[in-house]
This record gives sequence, C-alpha cells and structure tokens, in this order.
Amino acid sequence: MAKILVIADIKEGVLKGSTAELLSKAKTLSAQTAVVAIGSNVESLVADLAAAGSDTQYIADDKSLELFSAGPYAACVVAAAQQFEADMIWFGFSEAGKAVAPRVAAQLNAACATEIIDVTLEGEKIQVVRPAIAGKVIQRIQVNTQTLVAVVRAGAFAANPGITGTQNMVKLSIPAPDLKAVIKQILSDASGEIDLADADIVVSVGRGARDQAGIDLVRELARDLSAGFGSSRAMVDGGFMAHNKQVGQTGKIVAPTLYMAMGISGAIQHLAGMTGSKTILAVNKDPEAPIFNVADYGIVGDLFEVIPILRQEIKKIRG
Amino acid sequence: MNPLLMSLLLVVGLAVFSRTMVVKLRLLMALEPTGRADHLLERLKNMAIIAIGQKRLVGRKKEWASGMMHALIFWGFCVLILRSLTLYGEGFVHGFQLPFLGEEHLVGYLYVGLKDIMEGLVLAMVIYALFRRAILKPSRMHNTREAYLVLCMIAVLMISDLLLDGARYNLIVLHHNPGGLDFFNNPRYGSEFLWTPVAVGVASLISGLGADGTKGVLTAMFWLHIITQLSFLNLLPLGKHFHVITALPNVFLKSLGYPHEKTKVLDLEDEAAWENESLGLNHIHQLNWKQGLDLYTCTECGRCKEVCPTYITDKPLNLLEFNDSLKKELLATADNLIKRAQLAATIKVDGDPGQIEKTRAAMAELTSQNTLVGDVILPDTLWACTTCRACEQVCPVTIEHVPRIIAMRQGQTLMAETYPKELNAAFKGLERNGNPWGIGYDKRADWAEGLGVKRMADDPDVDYLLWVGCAGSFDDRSKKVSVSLVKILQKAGIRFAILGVEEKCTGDFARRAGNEMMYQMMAQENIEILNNYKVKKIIAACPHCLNTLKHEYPQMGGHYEVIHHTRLIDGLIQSGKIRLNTKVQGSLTYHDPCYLGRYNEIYDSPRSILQSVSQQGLTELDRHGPESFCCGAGGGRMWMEETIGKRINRERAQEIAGQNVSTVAVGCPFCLTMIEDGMKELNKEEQIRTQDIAELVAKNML
Amino acid sequence: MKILTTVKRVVDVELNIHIENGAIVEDGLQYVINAWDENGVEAAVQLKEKNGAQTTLVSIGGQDNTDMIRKCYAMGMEDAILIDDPALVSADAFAFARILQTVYEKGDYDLVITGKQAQDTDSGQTGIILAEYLQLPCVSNVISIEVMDEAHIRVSRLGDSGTEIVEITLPAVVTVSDSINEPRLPAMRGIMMAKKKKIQTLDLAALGTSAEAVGGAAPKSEIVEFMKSKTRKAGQKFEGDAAQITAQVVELLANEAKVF
Repeated sequence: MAKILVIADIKEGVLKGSTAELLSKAKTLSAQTAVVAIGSNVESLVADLAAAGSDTQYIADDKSLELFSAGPYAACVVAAAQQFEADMIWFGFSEAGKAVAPRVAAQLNAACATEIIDVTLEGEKIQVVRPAIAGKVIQRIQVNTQTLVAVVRAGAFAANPGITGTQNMVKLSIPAPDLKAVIKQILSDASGEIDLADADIVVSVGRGARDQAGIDLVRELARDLSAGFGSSRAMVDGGFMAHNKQVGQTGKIVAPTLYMAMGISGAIQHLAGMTGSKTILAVNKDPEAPIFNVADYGIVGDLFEVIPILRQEIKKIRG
Repeated sequence: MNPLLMSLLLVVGLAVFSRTMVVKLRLLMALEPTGRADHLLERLKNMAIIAIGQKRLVGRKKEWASGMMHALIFWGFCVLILRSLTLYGEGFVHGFQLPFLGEEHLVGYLYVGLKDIMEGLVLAMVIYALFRRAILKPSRMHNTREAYLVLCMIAVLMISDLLLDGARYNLIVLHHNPGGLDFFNNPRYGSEFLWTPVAVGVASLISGLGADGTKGVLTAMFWLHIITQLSFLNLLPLGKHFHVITALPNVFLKSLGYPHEKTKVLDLEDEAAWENESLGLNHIHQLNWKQGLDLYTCTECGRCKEVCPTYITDKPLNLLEFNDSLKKELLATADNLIKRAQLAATIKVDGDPGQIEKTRAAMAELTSQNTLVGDVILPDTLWACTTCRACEQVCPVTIEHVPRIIAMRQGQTLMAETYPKELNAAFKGLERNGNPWGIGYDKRADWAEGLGVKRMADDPDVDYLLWVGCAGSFDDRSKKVSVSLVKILQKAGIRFAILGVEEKCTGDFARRAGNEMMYQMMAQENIEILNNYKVKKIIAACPHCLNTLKHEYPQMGGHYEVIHHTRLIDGLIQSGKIRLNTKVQGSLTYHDPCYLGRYNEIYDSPRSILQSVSQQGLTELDRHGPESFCCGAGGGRMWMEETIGKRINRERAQEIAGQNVSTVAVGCPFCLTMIEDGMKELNKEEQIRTQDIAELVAKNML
Repeated sequence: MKILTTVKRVVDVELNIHIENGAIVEDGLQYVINAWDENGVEAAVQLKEKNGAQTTLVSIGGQDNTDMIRKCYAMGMEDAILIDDPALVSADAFAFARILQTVYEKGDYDLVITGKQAQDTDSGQTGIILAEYLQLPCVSNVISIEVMDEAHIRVSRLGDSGTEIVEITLPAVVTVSDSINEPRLPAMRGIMMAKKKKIQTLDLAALGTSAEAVGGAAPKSEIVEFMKSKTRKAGQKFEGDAAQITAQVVELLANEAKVF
C-alpha cells in the first residue's frame, strides 16, 4: 500500500477544496493518506482534515508560520514526509505549492512533477501525466525514484464526498524562520472576493465590458451566483482588474463546473487557463470570436444587453 | 533714362542678389548628393504642366478661385519679365526694345496689349489676395508680415508700371510729347495706346497733372519700379518667396517613376555609417541637396496641412511647420555645414589615418548641437504620419514630405533606438513568424483549407502567384476577402498558386516605421523564395504588399510584375471571363486606399468594377480619388496606439456615413479593418456594410 | 553586484505541435528563447543600467544556442557561458540545477535570476532546486526587483493572497514572472556588436564535473510518451433576439448541463 502525503491548502483559516480532491484521488489508489497543515491556528482544522480523507494529520502550528515562507514550509513538509515515510507527496495548485515542491524534492532526492493531471501506480511504478508546451501536448512521465513530489493541476482530481479519514494528529517541531527572505507586507487584492481556484462557478470579464461600468455589471452577475470573479489579460493590462484575477496561461488556471466568459474574445493564452472547465458559456458581440470554438453554449450579443436578461432568467430558475 | 544710376542700381542690386544666391547654392552643394539629371524631356514636361501650368492650383476643384488668382499673378510675372528687361534697357538706351518686340512686329503689339491686361489682372488678383488674407482669413494660411509685404510690393510694381504708362500716355497724347518719348505707331497696327486700355484708364486718373507734374510722375514711377523690383529680387531668397526662383527647378528636379524619392536601402554592415550616424536622417547635414531645395521652396501655403489626416484630427503633425523647422535648422547651421562639407572633401580614402581622425573630429565639432528628432522635430510629430501622401499630392511645388519622415524614423529606430514601443510586438512577430501578429508561420495557409488552392511548393508552373499578405492570411475579416478572390480566380480559370507557409510579410510596415533591418531581412527571404520559383507575375490584394513588391523589392534584386486584384478583376469582367448576374442593392461608395491611389495611381479599375456591380451606381465621397482621406493605418500606425486627438478612422467613417450609403467598398485590408471599426464605433455597422471589392464581385458573380 | 541569468532555448509555442508514434515531430519546428528567461535577461540588464550590476548569462545546450545568446548580448548582457556536452541529452531539472550550481560556484555571484518556468516543460523547478542545492533563499513569481543596498534587495511577488513584498538578503535566487517587464527588442547596433563577442563554451569536463556527478546519466524521471491534448469542440451558438436566446441558454444550462 502506497503512502501519500497531501499538503493541506489553507487560506485565511479555511481549508480549500483541493485538499479533499487530492485525498479522494489518493484513496482511489488505495493509499494510506496523511496531510500536513502549516500555518497559524491550523490545529483547529484537524477535524476537517480528517473528514476530508486523511488518516494522519501532521500539524505545524505557530505564529511564525502565519505568512508563507518557502524554507520553513519545505522543512515542515520534509519532516512530515520522513516521519510518514511517504511514497508520494502532493501539493494542491498554489503559488506556495509551486515554490515549495521542488525544494522538498531536492531535499528528499525525489523526482518532481508539476501541473500533473493524472497519476497511476502499478506496483512500485509511478507514472504521471501532465500537459506541456503551453498545453498543446500531454506527457506521460515515468518516475525512476522511490518517491515523487507533485503539484496537482487545479480541478484535475474530483472530490469524493463519500470518503472520510481518522483523526490522528502529530505535532511537528517548528523550524527556524528564514531570516534571509522576509515578507514585509502583503498587498491583498479585493479581499472578501471568492477565490478563483476554489469557486464552483467562475465569471470572467474581458474587453467587451469596455470600462468600469461594464466590469461592475459583470461583477453583479458573479455576486448573484456567488461565483469567483476573474478577468482576461486585457482588463488586467488596462488596469481595471488586479493581477491575481487573470485567468490564463500566465495567470490562474481554473477548472470550475461552470465558466462564464463575458466579452472575452478567446485568445489562446486565455483558453489555456479555462478549457479544463466542465461547462463553458460565452457571451460576445462578434460571432467569429474564437471563444465560441470552445464554448458549450454561446450567446452572440452585447453583454450590456444580455447580462441583465441572464441574471433575470437565472433568478427564475434558481429561485 | 540715366545710365549711371541704372548701372549703379543694377550692379548693387545684382551683386547683393548674386552673393545671397551663391551662399544658398553653396549650402545646397554642401548637402548629400543625389542624382536628378536623367529623363530631361519628362522633367521638362512636368515643369511645364505643374509649375508653369500651375496644375495643382487651377486643376483642383477645391479653391479653384484662389488657385486661379495665384496662377494669374504667376503668369503675369512670366509675361512681365520681358517688360522689366525692356525697362532696364530703357535706363541705358532711350526707346530700348527687345528683339522681335519692337513696333515693326505684330508680336510687339500683342505683347504690349498682353502686358497691359496682365498688369491690370495681377493688380486685381493682388487686391483679391490681400482681401482673402486679411478679411476671409482661410485657416490654412499663415498671415506673416512677409506675406503682406510681398503682396504690397507686387501691387507697387503693377501700380508703378501702370502709372508709368499712364503718365507716358498723358505726356504723349495730352501734352503732345514734349520730351520726345518713344511709342509704337506702326500704321499697320495703329497707336500703341489702342492696345493698352488699362494704362489709358489709369492715365485718366492722373490726367489733371500738368506736363511737368506728369513727367515727374513718369520719372518717379520708373525709378520706383526699378528699385522696387531689385529690392523684391533681393527679398525673395530670404523667405517663403524664394519659391519664385526655386519652384521651377524644384518641380523640374522632382522624383520620376515613383511619387517621391524611394527609401534608401541602408548598408547596415557599414561601420563608418554607424560611426558618423549616417544611417537614416539624424542630422540636418544629411539631407540631400534636393531635399534642401524642397526646404527653400515651401511657399507656406498650408495646403498640405489642410489635407493631412493627422493634422485634421488634432495630432501635432503640421507639415508647414515641419518644413519650416527643418529650414530654420538648415539656415541656422549653414556656415558650419558648409565648413564641414569642405573638410569632408579633403578626406582621401588612402590618406594618413591620423589626419583623417583629426578632420573627422573637426567635422564632429561642426555638427549641429540640436537633435533633429527632439529639438527640431518632436517625436510625436514624427510618428503621427501615416505616409498617406495627401500632402505631396496637393503641394503646388512638389515638395517630397514623406521620404524625410521615413529617413528620420530610420535614424530613430536604428541609431537612437527610440520609437513607439508598441511596435516591438509587431517587430518580434515579423522576426519569429513572418507576420506582425506573431501567429505561428505554420498556420499561414490555414485560410485556404478545402478551397483547392495550389501551393508553389507542389507545382510552380502557374501564370500568377497570388500574394495573400499577412492580413489576408491571419486576420479573420480579411481572410474572407482572400476566399472571395480565390473564388473569382478559379471561376475565371486563372492558373495561380500561393506560397502558403513560405510566404512572409513583405516588410512594408517595418520599413515605414524606420526598421530597415527588419525590412531587409523580410525582403531578402521573400526575394530568395520568389526567385527560386522564378516568379514573374504576382497578384496582390493588399496595396501595401503591391507597393513594396513592385517598387521596393527591385532595389534588392526582386523584379516582378505586380498587379492589384482590382485591376485583374476589372480585366476579367471586361473580357467576359467573369459575369455578374446580380447587383449590389442600395447606394454604394468607394474609399480610395492611399497606397492604391496616390502611390500607384489606380483609381479607375475599382470604379469600373463598382459601376458594373452596383444597381444604383457609384456615389463619390467628397474626399475621393487623389484627394482621398486616409483610413489611418498606413506608416506602421496600424501597430501603434492612437492616443492624441480624434481617431482618424472615425473621422473617415463619419464622412462616409454622411453620404447615406448602404455599402462602402474598399480595396485594402487595412482600410477594411479601420473603416469597419470606425462604423462600429459610430454604431452604424448594420446600416453601412464595409466590403472589399473582391467580396462584392464574388457575391454577385454567375 | 554580480548577476547570473539562466537562459533556455525552447520550441516556439506559437506553432502547431504534431505527435507521431508518441514523439514530437521535429520537422518544421523553430526554436526561440524561453519567454520567461527573456524577462530575466531584461531584469538583469535593467539592474545593470540602474545599479551598475555585472551581468553573466548561462545556457545549457548546443551550438544552436549561440543565436539566442547573441540576441541576449544585443539586449545588454555582458558575458555568456554555454555548457555544451552530448551527455546532457537526457538531463532532468535536477541535473541542470547541479550544472548551474557548478557554474555558480565558479563565479562570485550575488543574485541568480531565472524565468519562473520554461515554455517547453512548463515545470518551474530548476531555479528553485538550484536554490536548494546552493542553500540560498529563493523567491519565485517575482514582478519587481529593487536594490536596497549591496547585500539586500526588495522584490514583489505574486503570492496566493496578494502581492507580497519580500526583503531578501543576498546571495539569493529569484524566478521572474512575465509581468515583471517588457523585454526590449535587441537593437540593431547591439546586434552588430554582438556578432563579434565571444561566448565561453565549456563541456562538463572543462567545468570540472561529469555527467555522473550531476546525475545526468540517471534522471529522476523521464518522458516516455507524448500525446496530443484533447481539444474542446465548439458547442451550440445562438444568435438572434437577446431575450429569447438568453432564456433558451439558461434553460439548457439548468436541464442539459445541469449546472444550476
């Protein structure tokens, strides 16, 4: 039986959906599961962590770990992995995960794969599948070491609400802080807004919205649906939307159940960030817009006209 | 009259004038060389039609009246020059007449009469000119003291000569010629005064004076006329009226075979050129003498401003001032420039390196401190130009504005490395994938999927190469035009092929933006491929491609016969190879693309096609044909942001919308995009469809 | 301050990639500088211009890399080291990091700048592994670099909860996001001068190491197959009266796609 250690994705004291997704996948591989939670006040999440599907919870809870720091976070993961004797160590898709995973792999002399969309286990042989070349090809990779550290692509694994784990907390010793790279300030953008990575529905705004009035209109739709509110690169470059709202190859890659592209033309870089979505709805004035090549449902029209009607119809259906 | 005084006046007047002219000439000779000594007959023809015939003034519907006014003043001058010579002669010899113009010849009488009428006309025109300038105040004109002074001087010249003749008449007829003045009285033709009604009319105004008074007027007017004329002559080189002397040579020396001087193919490997910053136009001393002559010749009429699409939309490109700024810089640095050229002439190829070094250093000292782009011309001014040539089309003295701008852009892009950074993405795209959008080169022929279009790589045995161009290959809207064109060619049975993924951008926009390196790279690669396939004839749907392939590739070894698709289609319709069975409904107008019309003089073929294909016939826009209004995309501006003033394409779209048509036809992918976008901005894209001519034909052919 | 920048030559991702028998078809492909490394080069050159930093570039590959290196020279890089060794054909990120470590240790660098990922692998590991091997602080996804003094820099990073302002004690490794700058186009003059500049080319032996030492012969993981990625197909497109088609689509979303 393989041992899979999942790094819990915790933001502002809330356990994010990717943790359950990764644990569900681990269970489908018949693995023994554990999580490691790093931060401040994370001990309170042990129950949730167990419910998500982990059989052991390694906790590193300290004020010094409140803000992300690659060195100490890596040290915690390595400690947990060594104690657990993990065969695979999985991170959910996050900047923190991407920054820590290679360090962990280097310390453990393990293989490392990022952006994986599938993992198979045949006896001792681990293989992962991941996209490459801007998503144009898929690679199947053979792991030659005993251990694999991986960062999993957003939405790659499905959460199974049926699975559950056991509470078994293990406290990790707190590593020394990294004095050489210190976060002085975090300029958080539009706090209170739903995280794109977690959202079940994402509504994104593009150049078709033209200006602040258009953006506000689309935001209203997102609020109606309690959806994540994203953006194409155009609106970020134009200064209307914050960096971390950008959905695309160089921004966030999302795979929600429903993705609504409002006034987005569908440049390849944007598509790379959302074609993993289950259902795509697009609204655009131009019937030739490339977004219609990937949308399941396309409405050719001016979003200023369509969105009010859309909101109305959705209210009717959802009650 | 008084040979001594006359000699004195002539010697002084002409000496000063000669000196001024010598300096002006030396300045021109100190500039870079250029060849203009070819095709003398054609040059004479141009001079006759444009300069002497004043074609751009009287041949233009707009401002025909003021054009005629100037023409009459000019023709008046031409006629009156003989009169002046006669007067100078009169200063030495009483009763002096030029050969064949004496009273024995009818020509003499005819001349006398003509002179009389012209003087009256010129005076009337001068009064009209003053009225226009002072009262009507057209916006294109600059009301300077010089302008008024010159008009007044011309008036004085006319009035003094008329009064001179009037006084003469009175003395001869009223006072019975006490001084024994000479006048025509050939019995065959009658008295001179029968032929000079204006002078006689003027005479009646001063008929009240007695013989002595009249004689005084005669003498005073004579010397007033001479002195005014010599002063006028010396005034000319000092300001915009230098054109009186330089306009004829300037038109004579204008570019032939292509509307203006072709952009130079720079030798980018030349280290010396990098050293002395002579790649592109970086310093005033790098102008060639013809360009210097252009600066001398600007009449400051402002017609260029008036038709310039950037000036009209409030961008800081004022061509009159552009010319003026360069001229001021040239004149301000004249002394140093001449010295510098003298030093340059002393450098021998095999001379002592140390000496050459010293000479070069001395030359560098004499170079103007002002940066050409920055101090003399502002960057925003330089980059606003769309190279549409509307300015050159209306300039009465054929100044070549555009090549200077391109050369300055070359200097900026290559040497100063300052240019609108938005162009970077387009340059990068060219370098990597042969198109300004940077779309993978392997997708260049995707538009032709399923159309049965041959590639040259499969079979180069065809009559025509269809040059699709970047827009026609990659831009969704323009791809439709390519498809339409293919349908037409196939229907007509034309044997053609495309280069497909082997085709690269011609490099037009890179060249217009001054990036000679990128342009040469594209040109070299394309020419190699074209020559390998032994391509002879090319059809192009894009006037920019057409222009570059036809006129610029020969500079680098690519010689092809290039035909615009409208010419070809027109031929096909005329010869019956294509038949139209339905017509375009509703009213139709045509927007002349700059690079098709003003650069390649193709105005008729598109119109001929549109007449055939339209139900209601063609309505012309106000600014059409050679005076068409640019869509705003030329000169590399398609790839730059338009942040100053109004949008050019919107301006044109508004003009088109004002015509109340249901379709506007174009013959260029840039125009197609810009005008369609303009219609979208005006929310009129449903009412007014923008279509390429090929699309209209393909839709309606049998 | 001495800066070491890494530059990788990758396939032009603009082109269509064809797969045959589990491998990529090389015919028709062209290769370019990794876009993120280009950002790294630009960042290094800007630090040279603003703070007088000395800039060195290192690239691992073959003689085909020289065009790319000359372009970096034209952008303003001062020195370049090319590691060319046939044994590296199957190297993985760990091996590359070991090589870079050796290069780093041969010089006296204060800052290593790498692009945050390579356009061919999209892995984003090498720079971070290098930092681990060198036991240096590493901040990834950086969007601005500011020199505080000889031994400290301040960077902004796109983190999970917002933009993090981090102060780093040098020496350190930084991986850059494309949002950090707009790489300049190599200017003509730069290209002319770059033609004559030398590129120091070393094989592993000259570098003082070997394929075995860097782990080049035994990669921790290897690609066994390439497959074409699934493309989404177009669904239903509705044109016409806005009210009508919108109602139609919402109904489909609820009943057909079952998202509401």
